Amino acid sequence: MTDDPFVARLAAEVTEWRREGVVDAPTTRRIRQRYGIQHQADEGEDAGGQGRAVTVIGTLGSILVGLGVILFVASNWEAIGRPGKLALLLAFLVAFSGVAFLLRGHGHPRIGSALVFCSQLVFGANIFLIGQIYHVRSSEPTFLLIWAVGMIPMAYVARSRLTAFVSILALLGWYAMLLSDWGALSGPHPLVAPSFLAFGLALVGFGGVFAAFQRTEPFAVVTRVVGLATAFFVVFLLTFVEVWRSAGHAASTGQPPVTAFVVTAVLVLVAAVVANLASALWSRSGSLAWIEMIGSVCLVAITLVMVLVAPFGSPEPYALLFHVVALGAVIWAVLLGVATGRESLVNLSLVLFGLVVMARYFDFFGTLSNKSIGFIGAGVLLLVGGFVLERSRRFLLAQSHSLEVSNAN
Amino acid sequence: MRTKSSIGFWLAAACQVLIVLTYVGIKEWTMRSGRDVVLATRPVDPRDVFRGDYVTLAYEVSRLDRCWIGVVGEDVYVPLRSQGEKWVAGYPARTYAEAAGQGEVVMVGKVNNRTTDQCNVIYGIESYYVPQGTGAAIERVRGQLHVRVAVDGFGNAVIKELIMP
Repeated sequence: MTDDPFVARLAAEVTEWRREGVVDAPTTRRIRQRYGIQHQADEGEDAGGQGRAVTVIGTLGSILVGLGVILFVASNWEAIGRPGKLALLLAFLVAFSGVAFLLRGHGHPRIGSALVFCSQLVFGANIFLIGQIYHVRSSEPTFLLIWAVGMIPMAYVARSRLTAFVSILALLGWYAMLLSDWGALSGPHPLVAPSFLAFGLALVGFGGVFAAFQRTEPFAVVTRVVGLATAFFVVFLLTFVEVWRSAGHAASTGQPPVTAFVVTAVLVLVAAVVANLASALWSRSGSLAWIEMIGSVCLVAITLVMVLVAPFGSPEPYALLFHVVALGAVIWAVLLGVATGRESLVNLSLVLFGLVVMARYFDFFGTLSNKSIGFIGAGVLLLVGGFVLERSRRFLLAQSHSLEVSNAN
Repeated sequence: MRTKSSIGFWLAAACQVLIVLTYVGIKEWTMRSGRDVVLATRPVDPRDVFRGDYVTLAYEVSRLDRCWIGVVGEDVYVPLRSQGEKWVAGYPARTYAEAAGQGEVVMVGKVNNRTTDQCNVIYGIESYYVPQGTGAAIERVRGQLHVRVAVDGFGNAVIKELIMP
């Protein structure tokens, strides 16, 4: 640590600039080198090609070792008694955590972090294999919940984004299995779509809250990306006529949902609103954060109204409406992504757009002639939108340039 | 600072060990303190790619006639009473106390399918893991298998053993 107050201040500022995307990774590195600023990289932080290679190779190695542990225990299943199996599984868990800790603390942060991830796979294997020892049914949702919750403290203390990513995926898997257990997915029940959408947007909101605090900031992007990907996937599914048809059929012939499902769905909806509100309140993006929050709430509200009020008599208008919603979501996310410098928003919205276009292309393959006009219309709309955006961008740049000149004078 | 982060790391690791031990403790408690019941089964033979072979067990007490309560996904309490070697189910109830009045042992399950007056209940004991390749042997004696299950005072069940004919 330097004694020079300027360098100390600069070190803190550079970290902040990098976090906010003001400077890119190579520039950050050059500034630090110029002023001799020592910096211990977080896991996943860009430290050049070699660092990335170590992380990728280490992670792949971790996955192989984790799989090997599962196979070792599975292949010796009959030879080892119940206490032996339990002792072996726990020994693997402690050993991997210990080696990860030693490597992280002795100059090998990347391999150490890869081993932290490996220890989390071993932790998951522990839970699933103990389930096997006691013959617990394989579709038991609690396994995924225990795994996900158990990984959160380790992700936090080890600042492991990969562990956080797997934890969030496990949480999503748990929610899907829970809904399946409650019979909500066979049909599916109309509340399933808004509930999953809200789950995704709640993650987006939590990601926003994480971004506001230095300690949780490393997990902001991964939480937002998984959340938005989930929400967009639900919107994509809702563009299918068949989805609305089967939901309508289930609503007319199915039984009332179990109370636990309705209560959980409502809780998830409330969590989505609260998380996005908190994200907007704590965000440093100002009005953009509120636009993001309002967009998320509108998306959930439209879906809720459509499935609960069911204003249309046939499934086609719903699917058509969700094409408009998907297009709106794409434009909203692209604009927001550009304005906030969040590349992931732009990329995910392009994926959603591509999925919808591909799906419709295959749907209309045989009867293209009368549908082609829709593609042309949507394309023209986007081109005009792009043209307007480019013009407004030039105008904004010109404005800011003239402002800088007048300030300099 | 370094000591603080070391403590945090080991606390997180200890938390995971504790989670695993708690899970084991709950299952062991059911197994050791629970009352043994023998249930008649009918197996099929799928494969769980992550955990080797297992047989899916459908119990006689899984399909309940005159089952008027419980929507799909709802927990129900099923009273069991012994009938010779095996145990049979009474009418399901919404509370443990209500079911306890009808039988010697009560098992908690979840309705996973139903018609007007029949329902199918899962108890969390529908998988039995076997060494790889031995599932087919169990499949051959389908319909003659029995399973010894321990049921604790809360209605939770754990498989103790598969009884081959």
